[in-house]
Amino acid sequence: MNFKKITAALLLAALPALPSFGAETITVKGSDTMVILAQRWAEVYMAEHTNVSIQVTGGGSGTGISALINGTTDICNSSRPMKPAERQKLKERYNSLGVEIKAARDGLALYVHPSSPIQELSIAQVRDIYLGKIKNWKEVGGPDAKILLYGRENNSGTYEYFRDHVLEGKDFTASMQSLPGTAAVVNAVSKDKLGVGFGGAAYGKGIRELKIKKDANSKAYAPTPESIKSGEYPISRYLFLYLKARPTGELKAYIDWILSAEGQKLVADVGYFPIR
Amino acid sequence: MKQHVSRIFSGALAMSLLTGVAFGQNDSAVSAEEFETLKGQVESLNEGFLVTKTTVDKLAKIKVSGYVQAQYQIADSNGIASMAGGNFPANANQRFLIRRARLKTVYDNITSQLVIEVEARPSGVSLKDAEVILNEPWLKTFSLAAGYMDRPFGFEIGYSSSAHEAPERARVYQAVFKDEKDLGLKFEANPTDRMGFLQYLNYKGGIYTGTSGYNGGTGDEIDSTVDLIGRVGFKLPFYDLGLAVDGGASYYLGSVLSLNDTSWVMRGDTALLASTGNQKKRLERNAFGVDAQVYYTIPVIGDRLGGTSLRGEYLWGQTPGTLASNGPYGASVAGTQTAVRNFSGWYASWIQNYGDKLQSVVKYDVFDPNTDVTGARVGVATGGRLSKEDLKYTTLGLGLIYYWDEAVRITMYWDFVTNEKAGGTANGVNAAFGKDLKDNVATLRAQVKF
Repeated sequence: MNFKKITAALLLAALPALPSFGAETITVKGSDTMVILAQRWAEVYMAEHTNVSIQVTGGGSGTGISALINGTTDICNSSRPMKPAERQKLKERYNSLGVEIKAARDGLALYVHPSSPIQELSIAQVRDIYLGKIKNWKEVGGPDAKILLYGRENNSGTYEYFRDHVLEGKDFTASMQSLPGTAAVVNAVSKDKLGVGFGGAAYGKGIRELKIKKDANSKAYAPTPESIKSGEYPISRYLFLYLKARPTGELKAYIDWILSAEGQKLVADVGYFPIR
Repeated sequence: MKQHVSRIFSGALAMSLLTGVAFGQNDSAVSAEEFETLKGQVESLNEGFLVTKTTVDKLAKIKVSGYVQAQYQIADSNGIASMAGGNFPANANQRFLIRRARLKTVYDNITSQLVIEVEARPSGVSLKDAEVILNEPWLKTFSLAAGYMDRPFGFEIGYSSSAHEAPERARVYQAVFKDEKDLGLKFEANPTDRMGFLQYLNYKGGIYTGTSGYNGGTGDEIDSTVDLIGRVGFKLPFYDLGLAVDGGASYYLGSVLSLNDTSWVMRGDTALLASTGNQKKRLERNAFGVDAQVYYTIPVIGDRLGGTSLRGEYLWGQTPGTLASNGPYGASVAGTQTAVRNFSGWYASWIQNYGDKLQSVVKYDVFDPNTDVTGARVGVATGGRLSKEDLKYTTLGLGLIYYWDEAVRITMYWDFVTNEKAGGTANGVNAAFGKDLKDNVATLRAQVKF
């Protein structure tokens, strides 16, 4: 065999690899915090656009970002910003910086049982509780009883956001029970008088959300729409959509719709805070 | 088997019914007793869970990844010298090759990391990375790494071989920074987005033994002095435009001990001439480089956009090698006469995505191992000891990459290699160098990565 014949054969073999773009199915994957919102967006949009199929799954922000990099999803929902290392992987695979779209705003609430006497905590107290330095409710003005911690698994954007912004990057105490979704955290705390958990403010049903203050001398704020929008509530964040590249075609139409008044109304309906 | 399963199922159903009846017969008394039992069991399970979680959390810190590159190659002629995965066997112009087979383990404890990477090929097992990394927890910006690692120079060295679109790094890197690795201590700064303008800058640099990367990392050091290597970089993301511009400037400042009295050096622009009195003399080794990468998305098919990147690097400096090699001097060639050359090299590449599955690559690279002479002086009797090691090479690479799934990619790549023509056949220069050698190579590579 000679070089030229082999080269010609390899070029012919390459032809089937040329890309083909078929019918519109949009896949959405990522943040469990955003999964209800994403499902609502998809349901309403599909009802209005019957030619489009939108498949929504959760799994956590990290899982969604990995799926975006691996090419197994069109849209990644993430409750935390993409990390530089993840951006770099996207650049390596797609030669694209990726596109970040702020789709909603959320407050990260601290849940306790409705019967808990605790009304407010400072960020430092929350940090010490989740680092395992404060182990008894007595140390923060509660009953003499062990604090039972609930949180999220480490593939969750909520987990990472809480670790990075509240725990200052330190590891959660091993005594925290990691649960597979914010709904599971809410459910656990609603049945545990000594429990405390964290998650989106939109999930706050059957539990009570604590007021949080930046430091011991600050005023404490509950995670209300006003305090989250104004930034007075100290633990709030954006909810993001990530794409591999600038959207075109049906994907662009869907993103535009999410950011429209109709899409943003659903943000408020689900319990988050519209960005416009 | 089916009957057996059916019996088990019937038995279980009967047991559950009996249990239900028992609860029903004495509801309140048994419930209280059962409650305490269940509570004990739950607490016991919880304790077990915490023990398990501690173990799982520890295991979750261990990340294992790896990749294998298997390839078929065909060259223009038998036994060519090649930078496309090594020289071909003397009587063969095609071959199957396991180019790389690597397994990497990272223990990530946030403030500290341990990295070990090995390569296992039919020719043997070698170390590719062994680092201890300390990350400061306060600013999350600075880190220190010690061990065997990539040299912090330029773009291509740090760009993983599994991510490279062209099968191999540019010729200048393969010659001047053979094996890419060295033993040393590295400081790195990657400012976070909380640090204002500094977030767009980065630095990595350190002290290295200088030649320990050769011989598969078994050590090629011949002196006790260290070399300084570093890169100041920037990353400018223009999110609204979908544009990213990255780049940097690199330095390599070092020296190597000559273990031979004779060193061949350029005098003017005509010949490598012998210089004596060089035993135990330090020969300067340096390199400088600038690199840039631009990422943008452009329309490719219809209204579809595909990511595109343009990348380029330019390197120059001085390498003490030998007459028989324009690569760096080290223990593996200790005792032989040294040859000091000024070199330069550059490459430019264009990588284009078409949808999620297909990529094309165009790469052009140039390496001039001795910038002081032209090919016309090489192999000429009056040209001192100038040999084929002083000839300039250019390579045009064209390739297509198909992403089969999230783990597999298939690369077809053609290297069209052109050498500078030698002026004669002195100093062992083969007459074939009087024209362009037939040394183009086609590569079909399958890579699996996890």
